Amino acid sequence: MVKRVNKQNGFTLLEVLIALSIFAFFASAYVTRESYNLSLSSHIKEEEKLKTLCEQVINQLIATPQEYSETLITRPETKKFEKEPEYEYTIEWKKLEMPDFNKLLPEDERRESGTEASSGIEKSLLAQVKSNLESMLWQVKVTVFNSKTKFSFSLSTWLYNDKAKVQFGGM
Amino acid sequence: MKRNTESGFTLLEILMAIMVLSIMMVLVFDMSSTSTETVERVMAEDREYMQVQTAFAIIDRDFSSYYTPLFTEVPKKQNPGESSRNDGDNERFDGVTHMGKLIPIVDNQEKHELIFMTSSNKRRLQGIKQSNFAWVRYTLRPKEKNSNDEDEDGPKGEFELVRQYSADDPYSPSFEWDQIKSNILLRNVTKFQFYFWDNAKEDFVESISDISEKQKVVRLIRVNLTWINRNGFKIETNRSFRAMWYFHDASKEISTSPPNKNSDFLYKAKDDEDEDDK
Repeated sequence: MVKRVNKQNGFTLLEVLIALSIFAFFASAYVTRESYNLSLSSHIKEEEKLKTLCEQVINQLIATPQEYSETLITRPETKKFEKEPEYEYTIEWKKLEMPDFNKLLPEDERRESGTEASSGIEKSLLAQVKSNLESMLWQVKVTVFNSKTKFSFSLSTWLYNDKAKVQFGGM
Repeated sequence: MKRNTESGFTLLEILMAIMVLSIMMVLVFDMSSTSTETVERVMAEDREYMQVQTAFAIIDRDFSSYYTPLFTEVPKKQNPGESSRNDGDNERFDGVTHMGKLIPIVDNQEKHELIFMTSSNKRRLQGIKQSNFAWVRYTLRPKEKNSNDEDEDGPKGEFELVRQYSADDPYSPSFEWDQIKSNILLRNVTKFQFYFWDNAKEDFVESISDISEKQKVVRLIRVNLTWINRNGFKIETNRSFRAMWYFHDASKEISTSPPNKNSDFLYKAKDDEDEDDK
């Protein structure tokens, strides 16, 4: 008489779990998509802030003529912004490094010019130009770093030394 | 005897199922609606943020080509008899350089106001009285109450940032700022202030008159801006703007080289100095 005691219809635990996990997958995809939108917006704002600070430092450097000396190169200085304590900036100085002019010429021309008598004068001229340019042009790089979010932004530029004098000796 | 063999759900089961389903649907709906709301909110915030960036970009364009002949020249020395203003009482110019050029003023009478001459103008029509020079004035003014009611609700700043731009006849003696149309750059501003870079102090000062004597021109300014966004947050930003002009010390030039023909009317100062030396 009682035949179907255990023949209950329904889902097994596995089926339910699979269904739930599919649902969770889509829901979480949706949520992450939205949060991505938010984080992107705040990310851009942060980047903009870093850029503003960086520009300000580099603008100050350009607007204030510096005393250029070798001591600048040796110490990359790191300072904090007074009003924004979580931001710090580093200023790095470099002298211009000129390549060897002779190496700029193609090989066969180099050989040709080497045989000529004028090469001596040419060389000394180029050396003078090089030393002048090196004293006139400086490079500076400013990096702003947010110590909380670990984001950083850097800008670099050429500065000219307005106190440098053009010198051609022995001519 | 077949009363109970029909398979199906009981009323209770169906009710339970509906309950569970409806709870889940409410949750999903709630989730999606809050997220669309935040997206809208963020987008609106970003739009406002872009407006601020645009306003800064406009100031940058004007100030980066800020013009004064003092970048390359020095002011003419006044002879004792002359009044300090000899050029038709034009109050937008403050004396003459050693080469005879008029020196436009840079005016910052109030902290939120700046008037200067820019060389960024582009003449769009032929034959109109314009050059690349133009006068610009930035100022803050109280917001007009009954402007259009589109963006009504939400808290608001009391001021709006305004820019006036006049390229017509920049050297004309008659000139009224009141007659020049003002364009609103930003609404809902609570605070706006200019700062000026002082080379000697290596810091920003609040007014042009605070800049040390030795420095003749302003090369770098900073703007502090506080505004209220649509969600009621006060946002403080600042930005610096630099005039793109090279460094040139004209005073050395004058003392070392003889004045050329065009300029010998102007500068007797050199001779005067020589006499003093004797």
